[in-house]
Amino acid sequence: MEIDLELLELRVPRVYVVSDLGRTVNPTLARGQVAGGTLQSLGYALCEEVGVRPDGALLRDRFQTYILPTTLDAPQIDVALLEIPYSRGPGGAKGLGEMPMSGGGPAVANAVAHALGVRITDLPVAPERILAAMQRREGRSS
Amino acid sequence: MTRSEQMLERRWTINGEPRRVRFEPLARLLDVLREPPLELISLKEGCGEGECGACSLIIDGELQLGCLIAAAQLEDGTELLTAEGLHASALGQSLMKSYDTAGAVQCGYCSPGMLLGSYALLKRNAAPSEEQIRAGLAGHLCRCTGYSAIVEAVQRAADEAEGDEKAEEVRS
Repeated sequence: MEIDLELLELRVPRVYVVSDLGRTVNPTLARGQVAGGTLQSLGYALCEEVGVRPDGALLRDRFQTYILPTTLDAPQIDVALLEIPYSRGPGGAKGLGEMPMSGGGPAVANAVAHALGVRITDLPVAPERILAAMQRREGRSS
Repeated sequence: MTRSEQMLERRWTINGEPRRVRFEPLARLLDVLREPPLELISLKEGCGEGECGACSLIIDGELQLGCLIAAAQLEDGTELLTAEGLHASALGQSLMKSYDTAGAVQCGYCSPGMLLGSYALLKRNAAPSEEQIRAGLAGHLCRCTGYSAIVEAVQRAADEAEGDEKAEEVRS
């Protein structure tokens, strides 16, 4: 991951994802699920935020305001499928599609912590949140 | 004034066929194409506000968004290409095949628009780099694939077209 230190914008040029699915049933679909879920996860981590208005309605309910990753936002996604047969699954297979959602948020937050020394605990990891965290840290140390 | 007097008429060429269409003055092109009698339902309404690209079609050689065009804007003689017409060209067939083999279609909702975007891109630039492919398709949102397989599909189709061209050169 790359961080622009002036704008605090994050960019992910490449992501490696390993998924233990027990047993691959359809390789093309399995890879597709992992790749797609990984980008969803990165969108969740970097640019997607719904928000709720005070009256309970959704704040960002259109593509114009709820930002999904485009081809230009998407990194190169390298998928590896790991087959450790799961004795209780059909033919040793396990669930696959939900798992990629878990990784993006922590990976991005950990990268930011590693690079800048601030811990972000809300998604998306937006520049405003990084700035606020850096200012809070500076407030404490001054 | 009766309702029928308020309808507009046009003669367009749609996917190579001359068609006569009738629609209300403010009808969106997307609706005129999707509804009976044309029923070109490859065009999808993903947002209705020009953000997602699912309603894309090619009008007189240019990729456009059906949700943002009033049908009345298109004059007689306009040529339209939708995904239903891709089978009629070698490039269209090649793209559909490479999308299939590369796993570039999951739910399929973005696919017609994405295919037309790919078609328009390869017509403009027969040998695009990955960056150029991504830039060329940035107007088409896909939630399912993460775009990797789509980029690969376009690369494969471009390579195949280049291979065909080289074979043609050798033969002639």
